[in-house]
Parts: sequence; structure tokens; C-alpha cells
Amino acid sequence: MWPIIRNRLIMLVFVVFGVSFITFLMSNVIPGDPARMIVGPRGDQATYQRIREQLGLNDPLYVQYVDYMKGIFTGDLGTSIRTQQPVLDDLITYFPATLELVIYAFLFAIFFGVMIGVITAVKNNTKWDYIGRFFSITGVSLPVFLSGLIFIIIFYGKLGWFPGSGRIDLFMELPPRITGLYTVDSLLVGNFEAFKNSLWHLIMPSIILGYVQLSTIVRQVRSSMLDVLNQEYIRTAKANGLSEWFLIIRYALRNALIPVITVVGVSFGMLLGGAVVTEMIFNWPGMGKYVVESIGFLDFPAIMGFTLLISVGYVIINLIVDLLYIVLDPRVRE
Amino acid sequence: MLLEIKELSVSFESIYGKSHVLDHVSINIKKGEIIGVVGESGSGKSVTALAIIRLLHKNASIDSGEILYENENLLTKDEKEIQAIRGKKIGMVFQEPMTALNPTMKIGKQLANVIRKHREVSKKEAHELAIETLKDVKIKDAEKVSEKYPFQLSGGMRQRVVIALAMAAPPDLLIADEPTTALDVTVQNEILKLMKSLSEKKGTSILFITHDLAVVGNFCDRVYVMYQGKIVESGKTADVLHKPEHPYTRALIESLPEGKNPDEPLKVIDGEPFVLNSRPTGCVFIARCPLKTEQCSNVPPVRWRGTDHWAACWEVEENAGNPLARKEI
Repeated sequence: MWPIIRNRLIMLVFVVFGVSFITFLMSNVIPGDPARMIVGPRGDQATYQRIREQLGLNDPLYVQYVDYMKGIFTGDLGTSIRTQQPVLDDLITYFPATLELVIYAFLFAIFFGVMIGVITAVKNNTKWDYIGRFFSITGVSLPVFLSGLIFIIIFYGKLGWFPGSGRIDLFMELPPRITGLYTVDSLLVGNFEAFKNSLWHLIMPSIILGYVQLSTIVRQVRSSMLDVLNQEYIRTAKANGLSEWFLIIRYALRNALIPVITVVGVSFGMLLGGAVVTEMIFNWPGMGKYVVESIGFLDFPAIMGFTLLISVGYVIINLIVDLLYIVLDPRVRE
Repeated sequence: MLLEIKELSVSFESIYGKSHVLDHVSINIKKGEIIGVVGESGSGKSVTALAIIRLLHKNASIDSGEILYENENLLTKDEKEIQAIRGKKIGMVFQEPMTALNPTMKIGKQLANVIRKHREVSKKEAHELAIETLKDVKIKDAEKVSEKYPFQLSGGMRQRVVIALAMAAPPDLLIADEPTTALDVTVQNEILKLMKSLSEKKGTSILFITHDLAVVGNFCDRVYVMYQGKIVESGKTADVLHKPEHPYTRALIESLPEGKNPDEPLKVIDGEPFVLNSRPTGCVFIARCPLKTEQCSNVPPVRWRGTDHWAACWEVEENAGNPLARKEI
């Protein structure tokens, strides 16, 4: 176990180097001038030059890169051009909102994905199979901006069951910032009103966001489960008199989930990066919204910080996936 | 009679149409008996076994016949009733020990699950019983083995565990579907000895399915010879092996390498089995039989050679036997 963690941490350094190099290069190749964005089209030449000097844009490229890398390893991701805040502070502000959304979307996708996957496999080629597959196919076919709007129109506009935007009601007392996840923080201080309210806000966006990944999980679980159910050890266990659902849950599911973990890990990463559209639709004050607005402003430090964070996130997810393999499969442990 | 299979016919539905794989098969097993079913691959031995515990693949259908276990027809039982019989009354050991165990569950746990299914015991007691069962199948260090995963055991050890699982209840009948085929010859003998001693100790009958006539010789009390879904000869093991009547049984025995001059080429049976969906109407062996005559295109009669020994062949002469049991099979 420890060698795997060590290797991943070494890999992490290379990933940080690689990603920062590419994003840095791209931000300098793309036409557009952050200094010009700041002074505006009518700004005078002297101000413009002063700002270029301030941002270090007049230095040679390699000097800028070395400065940036020095910053990364001392926890300084630069200052956002748009918000005039350190990028790290911005990310710390917005990241928890995204993380909370992604976690709930992920839980939704896993719970229903595994459940529907198992049912469609066990009831292979029956109406339950078709219903389940139709339900999951809809997830990949419907783009988030469409399903999101439909949800908002129906469940917010017509029925008024769920709030349509934001993380929590405006008049609600905010829980103190401990983890930054409202549902966790409010529970930690015992503020159940805030917990209920923020959970209510989470339901629609996390269903919309998780629905896409749900179908991937359903298909993986279904095919893996079908494979396992045809294995001889299932037949042996049946011949030994074990009941069908005992077999499915205790014997088949664990074996079927092993190959699924990789896909599930990747899907978590996709959620993290893909929350952008959902956040825009539901006016979710998360990282996705932050970065979209930063792009419009050519706020390179912010964009680079976001990209770096997502990449590190991917490496960590992969590490967790590898560790899960060890937990689930005794053959890997040896 | 413990188990009576009466005139069982099974067919499989596939894109090529209906294939009849069992054709009026009748097999009897008395309490404590060890019965052999011999035949080549595809002759329907395993289908017979799976039909008994109702684990046939979904596209199989039972067209006619009965399977009586202690005079109750297993074919009319619902899933719940048959589940109560599987493992508890009728155990089964499969051919491939390498894949027959759950790869991610400890041996002891797998055994305990089955034990708890059949007996009202606590988790702790089940674990102790699991270790007892492992000792029964002559596994040394049963405590240690119960903490291992299947991939940590050899093929022979795994087959012992599979037998332990099947014998956990213990059942009255053990169906062993080529349990030694995938193992080394030396391990084979140990497993056979083990099954024989378990059968004697617990009074369990065994239905032993194999393609290996040599194994049948010193293991089974009676034997059924199967060809292409049909029982062609049956009798006490010694009678069938030393005085074979059906041309197929004779050809099988002549193809054995034992006691032959090693320089001579081995005898083989000419021709090959028919394709399943083009089943002949008369004798199933007609295409490969050296003795065939015109009447062989009719279903051959059962000809008795002794009280227990018969062959389904036109060319076999009726000797003694039971005229009341004379009928087409």
C-alpha cells in the first residue's frame, strides 16, 4: 500500500510541472492581453505600461515561468486579475461549493447507478432491464443545459418543490465556515434549518450533474454483473443452496464492482471538471462559475490555478481508486 | 430408491432451432450407492446433472419425464422448494475447481455461509463447523486454510474445499460432474478416495459423471453408458467393463490405452457424433456402428443380459433378465 502512495506522490510533482508548463505556455500563446483588459480600450498608454510592468508581462517568458513555479511551491498561485484577490484564496472560497455539489451528484450517481446496474443485470432482457437502460441512456443523451432547464421549469417554476438557484436561501443564517460544505458545517454546529435548506438547494443540481455519470455507471455495473453472474462460482454457490439475492449482494456485487471502480473514479474527475455548466444554470457560486467568468476576463492566473487544482484532483482520485482495488480484491494485496 | 430419473428428455433452443440433448434418459440411484455415468463430451452427462438440481441454462426446456427424489418430483417444485433441496439434500461438485470458488471471499466464510443456510447455528458456531468440514475433507491446518482466499490454494486443495461445500449439510446425494478431470493423476486418486470415504462415512450416494472409464472401474457400483443423450448400456461396473454388449461401449473400452502394446496405434471410433439438430430417428450410434443393419434405423429395444445388465441394441441377444422391465427406453 505504501509504495503505491509514495509513487503517486512522486507522480504528483511531475503532473504539477507538466500541467503548469502547458497552461502557462497556452496562456501566453493565446491572443489577448490581460493588461489591456484591465485598463480598458480607452485607457492611456502610461497606465497600460505600468500595469504590464506590475503583472510582470514585460519580463522574458522563462523568467515569468520560473516566478510562477516558485509561487506554486510556496503556495502562491498569483493574484487574480479580475477579483484582485490571491488565486489561492479565491479557490478556497469557491472550491468547497463545487466539491459539495460534486459529492452529492456522485453519491446520487453511485447509489442509483449501482442499483439500476444490478437490477438490469439480474433481470436481464425483461421489462425491468429495458426500463432501467432507457432511464440511463437518457442521461447521456440529454445535455446538462437542457435537462437542467427542464428541471428548473418543472420543479421550480411550475411545482415550486425545489429552489432554482444558489446554495442556500438569502435570509438563512450561514453556518460558520469549517469545511466550507454547508451541509457538513451546519450539522457540525447543529443548525438543522440551514442543513435542510442547503440540502434542498443541492437536490436539483446534483441530480442533473450526476445523471450523466449515472448512465456510465449503470452500463459498467450491468455488463460486469452479467459477467460475474455467469461465473462458475455463482453456479457452485447456487448449487450449495444459497438464495438468489444473498448471492447477488454478497457474492456477485463485490466481484462485479472491482472493474467498475476505475470508471467510477474517472467519472468523479469528470464531475469535478464538468460541474461548470451545471453551476452556471443553477447559479451555483462554485469554481466552475468562477473560472468561466475568469475566462471572459483573460484572467490567466485564475484559469491556471483552476486547471492545476483539477489535475491534482485527478491524481488523488486515481490514488484512491488504486487503494480501493487493494481493499476489494485480495489478489491485488499479495 | 433415493433418486429416480424417469424418461427425461431435455432440449435446447438456439438460433439453429431445437436441439434434443437428452432422449428419454432413466437413471436410478439407491441409498449409499455410487453410480457412474460415462460418455464423451457433449453426450449429455452434465445436462443430466444440472437438470436434477434445476440449474439448467435458461434456454433449456424439459420436454418430458420426471426426476423423483424420495418419490417427490423435483421438476414440479418451485424455486424456493428446490433451493431448500440444493446443498441440503443434493450436493454438487463441478469440474473446474479453479473457478468454482468466490475469489474475493475467505474459504472459511464461504463454508460458513453455506452451513448457516442449512443449519440453525450462530456465526461463531458456523465458523467452527466450517473448520470441522475442512478437516473432514482431509485438509491439514484447517484453521489456517479457512483464513485463506481461493487463489492461495492449489487445484487439489480447492477441489477439496468445493467438496467440503457440497458435503456441508451433509446431503443424501452428491452429484460429482467430472470432479477430477482438471487435476493431476495423483491428486485425482486422492480426491476419489476422499469421496469414497465420505460416502461410506455419511451414507451419501454419489452420482459420478466422467468420461474416464478407468476411473469408473474401481470407484462405481453400477454404471450407465451414455451416447448423444441416450443411455445405451447399463449394469454392474464389472459386467459393463468386462462383458460390454453395446457396440459403443465395446469401442470405448477398446480405445483405452491400458494393457496395449505401446508401439501399436491407439484404436479410435470412426466417424464423429452427429450434429445435435439432426438427430437420427433410430439408433443414435448408427452412423459409427460397425455392426449396423437395416433394422437399426428403428429405435433399438432394451435387451437384458442379466438381472441388472442391459444394452439398447438390435444386435444384442436377450439372455436372462427381467422381462417385465422390457420396454423401449
